[in-house]
Amino acid sequence: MKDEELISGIIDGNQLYFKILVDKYQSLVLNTCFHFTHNKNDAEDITQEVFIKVYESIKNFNYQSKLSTWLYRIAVNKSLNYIRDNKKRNIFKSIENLFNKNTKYEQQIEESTSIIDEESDPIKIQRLNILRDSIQLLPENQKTAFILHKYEEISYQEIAVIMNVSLASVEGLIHRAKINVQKNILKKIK
Amino acid sequence: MKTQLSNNTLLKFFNKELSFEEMTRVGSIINNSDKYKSIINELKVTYSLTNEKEKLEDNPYLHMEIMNKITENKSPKSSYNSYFVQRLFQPIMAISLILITLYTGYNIGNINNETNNEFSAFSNKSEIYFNDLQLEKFETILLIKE
Repeated sequence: MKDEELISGIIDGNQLYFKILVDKYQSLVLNTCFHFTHNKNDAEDITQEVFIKVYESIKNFNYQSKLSTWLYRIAVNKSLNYIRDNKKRNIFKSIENLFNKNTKYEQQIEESTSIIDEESDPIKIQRLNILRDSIQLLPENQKTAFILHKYEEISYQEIAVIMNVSLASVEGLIHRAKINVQKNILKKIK
Repeated sequence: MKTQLSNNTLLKFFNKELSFEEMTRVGSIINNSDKYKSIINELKVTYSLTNEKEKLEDNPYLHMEIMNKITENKSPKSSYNSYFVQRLFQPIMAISLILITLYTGYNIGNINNETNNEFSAFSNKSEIYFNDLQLEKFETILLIKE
């Protein structure tokens, strides 16, 4: 089924069309969110938020870009917002921990669940964590361009549309992101 | 002789961005140092992990969960509560706490000033009282008695 048919079906209030859209694009949204957050549960929560946003504002979709481009844009924005909120939450948590020793224990439990345990090799997990931390340290625009290019394998042209910047900017952002990720890795392993 | 290589030189070597002569020179330094060899190797292995595609499995119940959330959001009570708690209640509480702290601090400062003034006023008065006692007369009486 074409995207245009899905969109008009959802606007008409047909729940089945929305289910088809969710099934078709859930992998795209879920994995994009996961590459930003590196946490399965967080990625699933953000994916739900993305589709709720799609459901609520699909009437405003203007067909100027592909539906996938629009979904990527919402997923990126929601993920970046989540990371920002998470940073604030962590600051408050660390302040709380100064006053309450019990919450420190609770936080430790939470952190251990956020590490993905699909890899069995501890050295590989360590390297993966170094890489993820190095990507997290990038500025938001470099991080977005890098993730969309490296993990989602999107063309520079489409990244430019998603990020609403020029093609030359995307090339520059990806080049700088690559250098900065390598620099961050080097700092961590040295 | 040991030569130190900066991070920038190491990265340029790693990305093959140096001139032919520089590549040979830096390459020989790295080959003669176990430390640099392991750093370059570790960087290569770690960065190559970006080529591995991590994919999460789809959730077959996602549509149902989303629809539940949409119906929850539509109920006016829950939206009012979350709006009130997140958007209004917390900022109001934070601002009132700041104001209370400032007001208390200002009052404590004032109390201190007032007590200082009272002390100074008291000491002035005591001087007046001291003069009013006319101690000179007492002294003269005492002298006369002697």
